[in-house]
Amino acid sequence: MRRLAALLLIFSISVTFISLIAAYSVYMPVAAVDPLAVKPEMSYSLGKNNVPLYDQNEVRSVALSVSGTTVTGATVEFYKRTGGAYRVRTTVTLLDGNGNTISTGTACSNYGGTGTRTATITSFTPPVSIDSVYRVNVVIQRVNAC
Amino acid sequence: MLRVRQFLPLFLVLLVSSAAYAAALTLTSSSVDQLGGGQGNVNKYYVRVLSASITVDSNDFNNQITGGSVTVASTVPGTYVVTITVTTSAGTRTFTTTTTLSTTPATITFTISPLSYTDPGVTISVRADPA
Repeated sequence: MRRLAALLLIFSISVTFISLIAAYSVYMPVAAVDPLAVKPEMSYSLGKNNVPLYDQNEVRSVALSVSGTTVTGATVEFYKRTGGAYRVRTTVTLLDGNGNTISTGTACSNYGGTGTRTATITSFTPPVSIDSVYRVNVVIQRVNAC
Repeated sequence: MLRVRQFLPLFLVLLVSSAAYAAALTLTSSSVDQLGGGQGNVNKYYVRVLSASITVDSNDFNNQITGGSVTVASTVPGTYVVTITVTTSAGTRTFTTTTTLSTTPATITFTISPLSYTDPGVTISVRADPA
């Protein structure tokens, strides 16, 4: 009887201790937890060429078009500094978090004079989700033929 | 032995009341206590930068970047600290702002101290962290 009472006492103290920890510990509402970053960053690379008298054009902006989350196109504005009429190929490359190319879109047109010009890319191959894209590279290049 | 018998009811009362309170906490939804009770989802967010543009001080080849704008959205609405880093071979400039982001893209216009727009080009990085 005495041993049983001692065991019961130890058990009671133990359970009470654990219960007190649980009861009076600070608990944390999940609503107060910051959202977890899966992809907190994206970067854009805008190209600038330096081939004197041939191609010194530079990209000024790029805007992706999305349908839902799928990237469907891009609009690129570049400054055509080198005069004359010639063809310019615009390439937009979408890369994943490891730096691998996951999709590409191109456009090629003839442009004359100097000034801000626009290239419109109407499709990317293969279609990818914007949430898979970590980096966007935009390159323009003077070419002899499209 | 007498002492044990004297304190036993007290222990039992403490035990029952504490266990009841712990159980009540455990049953609270969207809460996590230190015993692991309660459940709730932690949101995961993706930052979507849908456009990036720069402004330059001139159309000369040796021009300088003075600012620009980006269009940013987040899959989890909230207040974020958005850091825009502009890098060329001539250096790096950083712009930071706190703004509300949602799934609807928001345009953030930024200005930086002039940075030479050198070949092969410029990299604009946009990072958003919960404020």
